[in-house]
Amino acid sequence: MNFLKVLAGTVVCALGMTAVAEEAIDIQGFAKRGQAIPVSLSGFSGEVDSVLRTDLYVIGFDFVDAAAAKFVIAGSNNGHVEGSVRDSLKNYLMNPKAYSGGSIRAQAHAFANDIAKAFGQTPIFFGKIAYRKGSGDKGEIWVSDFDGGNGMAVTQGGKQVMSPSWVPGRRELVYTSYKSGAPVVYLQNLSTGDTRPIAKYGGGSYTPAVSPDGNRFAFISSMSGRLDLYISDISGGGAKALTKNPEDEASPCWSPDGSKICFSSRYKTRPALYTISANGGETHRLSVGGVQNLTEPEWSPDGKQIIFTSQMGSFQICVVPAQGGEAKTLCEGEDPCWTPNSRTVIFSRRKGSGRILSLLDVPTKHVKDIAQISGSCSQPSWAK
Amino acid sequence: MKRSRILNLMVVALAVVLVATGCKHKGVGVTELPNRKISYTPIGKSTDSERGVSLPSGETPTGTPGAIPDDISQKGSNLLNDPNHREDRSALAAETVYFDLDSATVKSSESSKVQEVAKYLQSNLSYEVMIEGHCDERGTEGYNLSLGERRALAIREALINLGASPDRVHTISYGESRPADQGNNESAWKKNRRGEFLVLMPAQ
Repeated sequence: MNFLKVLAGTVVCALGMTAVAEEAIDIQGFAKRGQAIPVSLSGFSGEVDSVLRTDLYVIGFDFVDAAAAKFVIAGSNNGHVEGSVRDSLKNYLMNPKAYSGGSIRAQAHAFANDIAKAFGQTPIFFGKIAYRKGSGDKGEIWVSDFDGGNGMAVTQGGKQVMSPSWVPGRRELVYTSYKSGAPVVYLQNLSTGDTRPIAKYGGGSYTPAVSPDGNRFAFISSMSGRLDLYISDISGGGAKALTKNPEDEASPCWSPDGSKICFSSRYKTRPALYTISANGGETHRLSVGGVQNLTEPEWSPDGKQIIFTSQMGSFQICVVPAQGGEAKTLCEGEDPCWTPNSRTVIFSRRKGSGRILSLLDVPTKHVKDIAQISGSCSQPSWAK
Repeated sequence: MKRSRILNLMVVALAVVLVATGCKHKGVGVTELPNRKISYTPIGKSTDSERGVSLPSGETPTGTPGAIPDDISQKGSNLLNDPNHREDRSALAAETVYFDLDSATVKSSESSKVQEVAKYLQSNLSYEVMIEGHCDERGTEGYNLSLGERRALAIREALINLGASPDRVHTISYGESRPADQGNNESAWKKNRRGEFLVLMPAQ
């Protein structure tokens, strides 16, 4: 009798455990299938509720009622945020946690980060962004929290500024400014304000991109009389051309291991994507099916995908495996930049006569405009 | 008898569950990419007809074929570095070169303007010229920055081809940021697809 009870209990436990294990496997499967994970959200109100709904939406969750939810996110925000995540069998995926310190908005983002981690994702919600705010040839580089909070201009003078890009791991930006009368790439330390030119040559220096180890940067220059791809020490010394050809290179980006640069260049008069070793050598055209006119590539932090802007009438954000293949069209927009989780992307899109910043979850195609960033903003870069 | 049958059922049930969860979760909806060989098309190794330097169509080069110097690099303008240098936008305003949509080719109908600029430079040996490349608003900001530069560079090559010194001709792109006409229609857009000439002169 007792033996049978023990055996029955063991069987029931085993069944329970296999059910939880099935859920754990399933989490990864959702992203692979391009599906959002259905969750219910309860107990939150006001700003906390809206922050959680926005954050979780752009990392691949859908909000449903409790009966349809695979996971239940519950908590409260009376003075401070508290919350937990449980699966449909009421097992904790994330144990109850209370947050303290900082603003209630920051606590909500901290909770969203912990939820992301519970689901095996890299958290992104304390990310900083840089972008160009302005229209026409007047504008400044702004830096803010990814949701627009704590925003401030880091340049002044109203001259034309373009394409800010972060130095990995540091509070430093590279960008192009026309303040000297020609397009020059500057390196700016955001903590000290120290700003120095690091690519100042004949013609214009455009679209700088810093290597993952922070020691070098790639840029486009017309100093040769044609638009070519150059590489240089981050100090500005040692510049050398990686391409010397009549075609025109544009928009370089680095592979996450720092070995290759991907850029846009013309192939039979249309823009296509190419890669080249960061040490120079032959360029290789990326074989991409299904789209035309590939520009503005960015390599995902996990190395697996390249996202880019395709120009076929309208502009579309598209993604392709890093070794080439069929491209997937994701949404209307331009100038995408990956966040560290290799699924969420910040980009800009046209709205009215200007542009706004927006977030896209690549596997689910969820899109959400960053409502709190005002004015015409474009060319976003997410801090690495 | 009953107990052992329940026991049997539970063992079978457990076995079924274990087998079911042991199965790999087949990737429903995941498309395995075929093992593609990347097609290599090294830049710089293709034929001239595909990638030759584009001369203004219909224009015959003065001098011998291949008269374009190998090195058409541009250094920064010394004049620009002099805070007292002067600028004149009106001297060559009539020679603004207009381009077709998404094109950086100097049309034969525009080539007489380039000739006028070349003559102006020959007559004013201390002057330099900054060619400003512009686009209409269609195209992403990044693409337009590149297209504007390509337009300026194409005009610069045409000038060098006519004998202008590479050291006196400079390029800058403003992309879509400085339209000549703010309208959102073709009559405005064609005025924006242009290269303008800014004359740089030494301090008096």
